[in-house]
Amino acid sequence: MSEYVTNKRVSPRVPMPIIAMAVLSLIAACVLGFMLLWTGQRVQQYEAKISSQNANVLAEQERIRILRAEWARLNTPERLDLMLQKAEQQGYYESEGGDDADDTPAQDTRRGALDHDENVRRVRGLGGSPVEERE
Amino acid sequence: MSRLRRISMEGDRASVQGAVRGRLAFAMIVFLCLYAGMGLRLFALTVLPDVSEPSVEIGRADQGASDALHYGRADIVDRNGILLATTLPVASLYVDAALVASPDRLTRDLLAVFPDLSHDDVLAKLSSGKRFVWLKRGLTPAQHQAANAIGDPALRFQDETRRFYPQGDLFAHALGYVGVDGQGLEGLERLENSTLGLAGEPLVTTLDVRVQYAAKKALRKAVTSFTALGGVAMVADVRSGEILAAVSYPDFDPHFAASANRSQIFNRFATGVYEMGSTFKIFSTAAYLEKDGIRLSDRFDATKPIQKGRFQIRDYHAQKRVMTLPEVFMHSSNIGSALMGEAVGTQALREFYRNLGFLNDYKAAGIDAAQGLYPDPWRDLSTLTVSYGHGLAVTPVHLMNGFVTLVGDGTDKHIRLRPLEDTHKDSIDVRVVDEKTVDRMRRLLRLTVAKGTGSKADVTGYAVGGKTGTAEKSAVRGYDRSRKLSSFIAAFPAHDPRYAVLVIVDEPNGRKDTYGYATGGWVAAPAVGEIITAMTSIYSLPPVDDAVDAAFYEPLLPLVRDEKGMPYHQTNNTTFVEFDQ
Repeated sequence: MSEYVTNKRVSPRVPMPIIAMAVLSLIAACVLGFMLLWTGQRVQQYEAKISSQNANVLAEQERIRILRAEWARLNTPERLDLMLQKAEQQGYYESEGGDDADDTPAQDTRRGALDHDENVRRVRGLGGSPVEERE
Repeated sequence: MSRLRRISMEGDRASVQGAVRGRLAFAMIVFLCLYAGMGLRLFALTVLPDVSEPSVEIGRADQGASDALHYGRADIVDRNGILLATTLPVASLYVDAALVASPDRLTRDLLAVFPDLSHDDVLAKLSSGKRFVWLKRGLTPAQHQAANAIGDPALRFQDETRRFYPQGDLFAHALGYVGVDGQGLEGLERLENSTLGLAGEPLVTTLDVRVQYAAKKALRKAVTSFTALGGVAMVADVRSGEILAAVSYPDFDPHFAASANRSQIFNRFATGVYEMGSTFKIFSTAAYLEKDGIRLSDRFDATKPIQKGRFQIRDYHAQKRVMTLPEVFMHSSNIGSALMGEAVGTQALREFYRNLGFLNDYKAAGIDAAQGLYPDPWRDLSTLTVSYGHGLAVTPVHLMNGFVTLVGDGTDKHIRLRPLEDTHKDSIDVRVVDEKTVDRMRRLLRLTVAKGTGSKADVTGYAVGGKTGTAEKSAVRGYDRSRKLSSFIAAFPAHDPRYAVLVIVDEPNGRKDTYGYATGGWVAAPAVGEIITAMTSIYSLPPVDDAVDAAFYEPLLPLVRDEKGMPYHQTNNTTFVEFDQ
């Protein structure tokens, strides 16, 4: 009995709170480490995504640049002039008798005749002339 | 005692055991942590996505680091933002000849894609065994695709950039071109090389694609129809000094500047130094009007040529009578202009021309014109010849700048190809000509077009005012009558000019329908009229009221009386001018 008592007194046992704290610290360190790693991974993923998006933007800018140059090339005054002359030679702009000012449909200014929907139908050729309908 | 010792020994053993146990636990924890770290790292590397080696695309994006693409040289745009020059990515083809398995077969495949290449040259390159040999630089996208489709591992592509001019030859001289290393060699590309090299915002010019094309079209027509050597067309905004168009013809494709001949490369508006002939009478007349006590009704005896030593000054369209100042101007009398110059005096005329910038080289934003040639020493005879545009040679840029000064508000606007920054605006508005002289000159110019030699430049409703010029070109000894420089310079609307237009045609030849004439009035004036007609549409310019126009110049015409004795200005002949300001 006395030996037991003596042994117990001499043994350098670590107090329980310290052990508990150490374990908790270890767990916390592991959790925090994992979270840190996870965050790091997320950051890397987002950075990769941003870089990818930037690469796409650059590629689009490059395409826009080429398209702008192409657009300017296709719209040079000389080319447009040649196209116009060609179109005129082929008679694209010949009158079909409908471009005289007198041939423009008269707008009925009587009360109610300027109804918006009717005018839209008339313009679209859906409802005929509102003047004719009334007459 | 022994009991106590035993107890002590047992206590030591327990203490040692505890320490060992503790160390083992510590080591175990350390190793556990290490393994856990390694496990997590393995997990991260193998299971989690997108943490592997960055792709090429990502690498390019990271290198860019900014929002915009920069290819090493900024774009050039016109005043409306239309693209005039840009830098594009292109692929260039080279070969690793050490990897070529069958040079004959690969040569055949390459020539199918690039028929312009030489068979022997390509074969020699493919058989050379060198690790890097250029085959074709600056491929088009179609060529790139076709070369890639050959599928030979020896063929490689190198990313490069190339300067591209979407408007082709339209701005060849104004913009210039770049060398293979991307450095500007001529025109704006050279003058603004440092700015363009910063690869920032586009460089904005004062040019207008539409006006430039109208000017080129009219000039090309004049040059080809009169079988001339070439010509110049310029348009400037009189109020701001901005150049809207600057054409030198013949021109060249700036993408292949090396293959252009000398005539094509020659920039006539900036480096062509010419004796301008009668268009210079504008300035001698203005110099005369600057004198105190001058009246428009002053008369000049042009009945016979002026004889000075062995030189004789005569009129091209000799009136052989005494003429008033407006008559001298509208009939373009050399004799009358020489007499005006004589009245101004050598010193005063030279100073006036110096103030107009004719005796110096011309440097402005985007323009670097050559220095003119002037008499040195400047004798009294020089004053006479210079008064009608001979003996003093300037570039078209000089002429246009002097004209803009004279018909504008009398201040030097310094015509240029770059917009003027607000901070610099006050520094150049230096008065050169009196406002009263400006008004008189505008009326004289309008009279010349309405009733004089420049009638073919008139555009109904737009009150064009201008002056013709036909100069004989200098030869080894004296002047060659068969080689002329025909020109016309105009401003419109004359009562308050907004735009100035200049056309010069170098060595035109007369045609049947012009009765063999190749003078400024026949050659250049119609071209100016065509440019002005186009500009009225481009800028939707409102016409000038006929009554306002008539009231502007008709008072310069002779006053006669009708059958009822009512006075009116005779519009079909000019013998006397009562109007004076």
